[in-house]
Amino acid sequence: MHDVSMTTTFLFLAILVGMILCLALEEKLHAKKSVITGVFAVVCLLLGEVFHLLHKPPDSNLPLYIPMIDWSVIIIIFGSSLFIDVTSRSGIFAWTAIKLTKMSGGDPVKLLWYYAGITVVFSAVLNNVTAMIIVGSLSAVSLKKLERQNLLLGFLLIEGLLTNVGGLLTLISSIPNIIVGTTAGISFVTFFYKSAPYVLVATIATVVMGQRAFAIERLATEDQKKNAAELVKSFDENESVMSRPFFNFSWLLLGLFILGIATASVTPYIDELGMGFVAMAFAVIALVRIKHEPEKAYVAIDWDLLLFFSYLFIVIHVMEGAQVLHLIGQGIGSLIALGDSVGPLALLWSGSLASSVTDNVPLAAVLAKILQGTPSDSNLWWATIFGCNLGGNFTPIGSASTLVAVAIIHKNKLPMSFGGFVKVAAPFAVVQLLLASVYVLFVV
Amino acid sequence: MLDLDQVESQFRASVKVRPKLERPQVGSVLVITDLEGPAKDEYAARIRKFLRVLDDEQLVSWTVTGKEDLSSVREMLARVEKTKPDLIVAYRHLFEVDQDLPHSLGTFADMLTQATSSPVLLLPPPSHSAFASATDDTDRILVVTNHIVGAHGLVSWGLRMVEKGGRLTLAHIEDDAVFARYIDAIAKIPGIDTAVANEQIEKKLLGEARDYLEETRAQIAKSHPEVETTLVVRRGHTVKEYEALVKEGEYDIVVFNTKVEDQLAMHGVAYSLAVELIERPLLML
Repeated sequence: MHDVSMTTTFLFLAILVGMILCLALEEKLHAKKSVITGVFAVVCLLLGEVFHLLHKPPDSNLPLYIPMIDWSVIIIIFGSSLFIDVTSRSGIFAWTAIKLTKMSGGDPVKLLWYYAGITVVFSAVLNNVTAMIIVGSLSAVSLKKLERQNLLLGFLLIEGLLTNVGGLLTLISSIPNIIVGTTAGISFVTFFYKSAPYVLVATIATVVMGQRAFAIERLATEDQKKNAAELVKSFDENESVMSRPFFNFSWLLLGLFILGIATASVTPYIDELGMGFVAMAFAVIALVRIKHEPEKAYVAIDWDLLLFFSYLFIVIHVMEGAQVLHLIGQGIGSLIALGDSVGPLALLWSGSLASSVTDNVPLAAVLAKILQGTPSDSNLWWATIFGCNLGGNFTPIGSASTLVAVAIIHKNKLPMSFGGFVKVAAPFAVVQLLLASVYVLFVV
Repeated sequence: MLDLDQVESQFRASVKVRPKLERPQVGSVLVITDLEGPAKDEYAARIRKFLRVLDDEQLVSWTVTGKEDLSSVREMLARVEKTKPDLIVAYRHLFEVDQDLPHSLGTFADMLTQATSSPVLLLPPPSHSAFASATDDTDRILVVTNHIVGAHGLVSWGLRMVEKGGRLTLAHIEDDAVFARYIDAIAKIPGIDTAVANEQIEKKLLGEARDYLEETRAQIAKSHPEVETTLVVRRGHTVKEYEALVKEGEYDIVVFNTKVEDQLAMHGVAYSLAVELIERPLLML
């Protein structure tokens, strides 16, 4: 560790706090994440050079900021996004969502459980925002058709809260999972079997609470049931399927993709190439299906997200050089030092509160860097993962998917203020975190 | 990254309007004529024979109002208001000396179609050369509209009028002029690809109509296997296309909507059609 003055460390800490504040105020600033972190990355690199904090790896011809980026994370996100974008064009996700709507027979309670289920599964397979867009849009359309628009607010809030629960299901379900999980060295399968029971329990608890909070009740009379069944019959799931062979091909490919990702760490040759290779390989195979117009898929890539991560990794690397992470690590260390029980809980709750007001990705990246070297079976990793993912449920700005839920709420002209969201969502978030606390202490 | 509006559009497109065919109840028919005496009785008998399909299932109360019963439009409207018939049968140029005038329906017929809420079956006048052939049978019925999706009543009336073993043609003509106006507006918006918009809008409009009609045909095949249903879905000049269809198929009755939503006045296309198709019975809803 090289010598850095406390003044320099505090200067860079102020820069980090400034960036986190700007990310929290993203909407107010009318600036995208990538632009915010990009500006801070440029400033950090320049100041890093001025203060002699940056050191080029001796055997590398690359510019020194290139190795700062965790390319394995970037490539997993890039490959998965591309793959999911192409396969979703086949209509498999919309088809599934509509099929379940019809299976509910129009009963609000059944519909809520089915939508809760697909929200969790879609959040696990897709990203949280995409899952919220699909299920939220369908909720708006189907409840309007069923003449149950009074239930829309409840449905959207429950779905928004569940995207962050579903985001816990697999190693690739959310960005904090990818960053923390890969740093900890947790395999896809281990991650899944450790998180799945929690996701199941938290989902049930959330839906049961939501059902009561929003007075979502079953249809009482035979007439109501008959009428609702007739109304949902008007949905045609095949409308979203443009080509049957592409649709079937996408199902097959999605199954193989999940299998490939799950077994990447134990499959000969693939284990050396990693999950990023699997994601990219499947993206390329999927692109073959639209080989004459791949640019349509390229346009759909969330470049803002990818550049945001790239710049973020640079900022964090500079912060490491400026001893800022060491300083934060001392603070975290004092939390962890509270004991085997209180330590992880303090990490979980403080992490969740921090991620409730700002982006959970920088938080996950900083904590992962600080915890680097901790054994992969330590519950500190899980405290970090649960805290980063679930904290977003406290406020509408806590996660991108709750922000989408609020956007759909406003699009449908339903009243929902920042305070109103917190008032409704906080009990759900507290219950989910209490369950996570028990889980972190006694299960993982 | 998915776009919220695109996804919502996809789900909205998956909601199909399903046909709801409900047989119109025709318990009372008001026949209005300017004839009197034996001519009136003979006319009434012919109309009853022509519309024998209405007597198939239920007891229909037929009321015939002739020259001796009416002397003004107001009286006629009062009679309609009082009896509230399920169907009114009348003809062009009622109570007029010259019953062969083109481009008009005549005051009485005009008021019937504009100011009453009951369906009106408008025939050529008995003095017209086409009257006999036009009031023979009802085994070929044409239902025409520029917006068939959800027009359950129109289809149901068409089906109600067709005789067993007859043919029901359901036609949806997407108005070229309206379409061109929207595409012209789109062509002036830089953010929308005109060629794509043209193709997609046409595909969606005609596709929805086709889907609705295909399902309607399937329902009719189940409930009325003796009726043959043919479908026409295309773009074109509405009135010209309707006229061409009528000529091609030699239909016995042409069924169409006349009322502007939320008011009784007849809309422009319906009026044009009503004055052009002078030799055909027109059922105006």
